[in-house]
Amino acid sequence: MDIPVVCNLQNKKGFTLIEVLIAILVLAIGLLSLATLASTVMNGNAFSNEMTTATTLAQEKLEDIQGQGYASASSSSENYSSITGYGAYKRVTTVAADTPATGMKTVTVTVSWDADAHSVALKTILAE
Amino acid sequence: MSGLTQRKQKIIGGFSLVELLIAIAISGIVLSAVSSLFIMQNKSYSVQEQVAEMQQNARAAMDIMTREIRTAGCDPTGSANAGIVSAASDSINFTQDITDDAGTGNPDGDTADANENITYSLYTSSGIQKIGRDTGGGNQPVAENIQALTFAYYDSAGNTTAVPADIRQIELTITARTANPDPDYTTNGGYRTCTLTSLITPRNLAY
Repeated sequence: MDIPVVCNLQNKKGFTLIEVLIAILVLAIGLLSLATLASTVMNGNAFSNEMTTATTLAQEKLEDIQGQGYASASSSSENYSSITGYGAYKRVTTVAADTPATGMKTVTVTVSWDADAHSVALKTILAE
Repeated sequence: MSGLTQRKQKIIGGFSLVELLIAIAISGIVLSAVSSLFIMQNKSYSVQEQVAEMQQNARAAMDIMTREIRTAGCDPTGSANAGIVSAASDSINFTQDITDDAGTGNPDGDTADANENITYSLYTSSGIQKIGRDTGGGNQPVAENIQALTFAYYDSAGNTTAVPADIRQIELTITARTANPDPDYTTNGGYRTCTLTSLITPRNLAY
């Protein structure tokens, strides 16, 4: 009588070790992707903050040049850690005289950060 | 008969106590991992939401204010005597002649119409510090949760000045902060901040 009982117990359905391991692996991948999502959101926010700061810095320079007037508009360069309060940013101002026509100056301000990995460029044209 | 009954009972599928204990232990470990992940995600979500809002506040305030201050002193008729009225380090009052009594958008030679006499300053309402725009009817909020608002004024030579008539450029600094303190962030009482600085050259002040 005992033998068929043992046989029946052994036939009982269940999970094999491999199945359980695969299930855990799938769960782990799912959870990991959620964790990645959080860090992606943080990176995105940090990047948009840097982008805003860089754009504002570029705008500031353009306004500065507007204020100085046409005659004194000239190229300049502020390297990393030379802008007070915004050491992580580099600002390069290029003034091209007589562009796009005589009596005009094209001013391009490029603000870079993250070792030049990212940059924002603003452009304006001054008339004499 | 009794032997048959016993056998049938043993055939019915089920878990032994040991299996059950192991299953509970494993699901406990998995659940604690999932719940701690949820708590972490929830915290990070609320912080990042506030950080995004803070950046939007700073950016929007900077955009609105630079745009409007740039038109300070707009005086096409030459008789409105528009310009910067008072220049303090924490507020600015300026006038512009951009419309008439009917609001048609035609300058009428005075600065007494809607949106022509503007004051920007910090004020507190409902316990929240905001940038207020006052055109005579009291402060209207421009941006909320602002920690600091600073103005610096420069004359045509680029030196700081306090005389409203000499002002040619205005440096505007806005520091926005998160709405609620984060206990895990120890600096600045738990408030994250975002500071933007820009220079404004009002187009009409030089003439």
